[in-house]
Amino acid sequence: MGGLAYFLVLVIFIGSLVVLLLGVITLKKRGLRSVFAALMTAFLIVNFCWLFGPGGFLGIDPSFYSLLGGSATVLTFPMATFLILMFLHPRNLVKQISTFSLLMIPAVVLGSWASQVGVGATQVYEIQYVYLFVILCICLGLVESIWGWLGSRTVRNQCYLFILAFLVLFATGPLYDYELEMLGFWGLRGASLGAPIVGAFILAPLVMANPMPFVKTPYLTISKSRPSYDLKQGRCYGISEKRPKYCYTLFKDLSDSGYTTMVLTSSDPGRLRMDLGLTGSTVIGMTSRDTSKTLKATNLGRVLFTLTDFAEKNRKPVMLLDCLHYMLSNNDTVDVAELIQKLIEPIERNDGVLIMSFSLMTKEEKETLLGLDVVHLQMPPPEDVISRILSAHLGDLSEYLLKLSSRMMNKKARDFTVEDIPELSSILAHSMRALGNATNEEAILRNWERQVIGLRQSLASFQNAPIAFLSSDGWMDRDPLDWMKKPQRRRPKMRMVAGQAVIPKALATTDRKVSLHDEVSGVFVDSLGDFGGDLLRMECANLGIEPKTMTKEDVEMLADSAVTIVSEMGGFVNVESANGSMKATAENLKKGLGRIFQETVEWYPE
Amino acid sequence: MKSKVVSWTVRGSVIFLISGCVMALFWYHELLYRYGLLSLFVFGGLGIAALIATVSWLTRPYKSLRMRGKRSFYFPPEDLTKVVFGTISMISIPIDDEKPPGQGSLCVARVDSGKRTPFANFMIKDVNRAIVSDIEEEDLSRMGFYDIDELQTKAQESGVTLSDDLEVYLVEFEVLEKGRF
Repeated sequence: MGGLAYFLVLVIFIGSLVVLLLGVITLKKRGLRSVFAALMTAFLIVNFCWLFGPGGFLGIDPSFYSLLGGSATVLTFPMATFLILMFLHPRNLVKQISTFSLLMIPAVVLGSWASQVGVGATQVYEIQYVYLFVILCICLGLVESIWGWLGSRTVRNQCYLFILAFLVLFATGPLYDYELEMLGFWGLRGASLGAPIVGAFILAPLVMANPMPFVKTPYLTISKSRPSYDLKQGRCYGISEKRPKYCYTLFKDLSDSGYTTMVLTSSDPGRLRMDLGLTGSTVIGMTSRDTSKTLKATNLGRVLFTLTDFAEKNRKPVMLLDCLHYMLSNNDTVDVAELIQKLIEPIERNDGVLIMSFSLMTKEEKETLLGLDVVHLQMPPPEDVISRILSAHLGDLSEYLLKLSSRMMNKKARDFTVEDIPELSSILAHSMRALGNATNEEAILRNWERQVIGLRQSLASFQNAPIAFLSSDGWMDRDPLDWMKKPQRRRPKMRMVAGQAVIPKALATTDRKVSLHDEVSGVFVDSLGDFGGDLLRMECANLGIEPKTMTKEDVEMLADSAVTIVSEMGGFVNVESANGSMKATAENLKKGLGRIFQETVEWYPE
Repeated sequence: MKSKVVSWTVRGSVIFLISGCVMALFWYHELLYRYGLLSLFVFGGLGIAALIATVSWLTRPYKSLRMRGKRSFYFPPEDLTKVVFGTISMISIPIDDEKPPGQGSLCVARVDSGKRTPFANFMIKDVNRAIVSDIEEEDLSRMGFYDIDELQTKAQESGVTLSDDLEVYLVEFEVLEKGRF
């Protein structure tokens, strides 16, 4: 036995020790960790016996080494197979017990028999029963791995490695003996050569299957989340929205309240963590490949394992899945629905909350997922509600102020969320006050100030609106001006259609006469929103026109004056094309007012 | 990369096996002498030629060892070279159309005219979804467009309307083997 062979066995021994330590540190699942530790310990014993036992390098010949080595060698193969079966069927207790009975009991019996007979590690393969049993174990492991590989996409990647590990085990086990004998490396016989290789192969998929170190808070201190959100514990929520926004808002609220949270996202985890300020949350990315930090979209087994593990290990867990559309794109809908169904159980059991974003989904997919026990919330796009409120308060000017705010916030208007409202409100208020100041008119300034207050109240009301109200489409029926709790001016009901004054039905039935002021006010409000009404009143005061006794000549004067103001207003807004668009708005206003004073309708004084 | 390694390994093994068999025949070379030089020249030459032809046909590099893709994707003739050389590596499909196969699936690229001839086999690398107006510039350049307007115009020309609010699948693919042109 040469020095090189001794050195190699020593390296292998150290390698096995390293793999054992790595496995014990990395593996979180207790059962898997125990079996892996036992397997690697058996490998180490075999190595130890080859180093120091009879026939080993040092020539020590105590019978203890021989007996221990023999039984450890017999136990190695069934344990490796058992480990694989435990991984392939992590929740199938019947399969685990039957595998244990089939593999471990005969192994223990054979091992003890080998010890009693006094067959050491060097001769144990020469016993016919042991040899057959080892071959049986290897075949069983191979068949199971191949079956898992073919049958389930969820464990395919892991099975590749298992099959490789078994081939290494097979090659370095009984068959390899003779080749080593021919080469003169007796000391490398048996399982000893493959120990660290097989161990590393088996360890890798196990680590990949359970890579996420969950940081558990020692004491769960949960403060109250926003009452308007009112998400019930133990429930799963599917949030339908054009772009995922409310799901983040709700999740962040629960995260800030102290719940243990986890996000599975198809976007960049780092950016999401930074954007939402999720300091204490676990953020896992979903991509097209499996890594230690990301999950592969098609590897549903690992996804389910990771999610259920989190849901089961934490009290009141909160989970957000914003990548359902990504999973559905790469898997069958039924498979994803099954995964969600399996996830709902631990969530309900542990009083958790599961939030799922239903954006970018087809109707069929939504219907399938809603067939599960999921509360459906159809949320409005925040940018639409904000735009509606702004339009009601500011008319056409709203579009430019929204663009201005979007530029200042360095965010596209379509990406606005409820959480942006305070900043948006503040920017809008500053811009409107600046516009008022630029006109150098105290009356305009006062008018803008009133608009600012109204707008801020409306936006704040929207921000604090209950989820139930928003999801029930109640916001669509509500007058945007009613969002604020201030005395409302009634908006004139008159509308101009194709140059003709149309009297609303309610007015027609009461046979009420329409005044010229009503009509003019309607045109102003239609063009400029709430701001238009104030502008009319202000201009009437400036020009000395009495609204009640307004004549067609007054309307002409009003038109000229208002059009000048609105045209100039575009120049104050620092947004591209605002000037031209405001001029177009002014033209529309002029046209609307022009129709009034050109018409031959007899107007009645108020 | 993985598929290429597997492909090279299998092809290399086949070539090695055949070469080994040919070399092993030298062990029995004495048996061959009795056929005479002319017979060896004619029949042996033909046999070796047939063997080389068969081996080169079996190991032709533009055919995958893996199974054929069932699903076909159609590309306009002007995009053919762009797809083959990887300039175009992504396509968009409206979400209401047929669902594309998931990651790892094999598909056939065909010319969208005449006989619809297949010109490449590709593998789906990733499938995602997006609203048309949210498609990022990087993805647009993978699709071979400069901006969304160009994408919408091209789609319009081929009879598909891609409005700003439409949801689409973004299918990223990698050409595995190219056909002969």
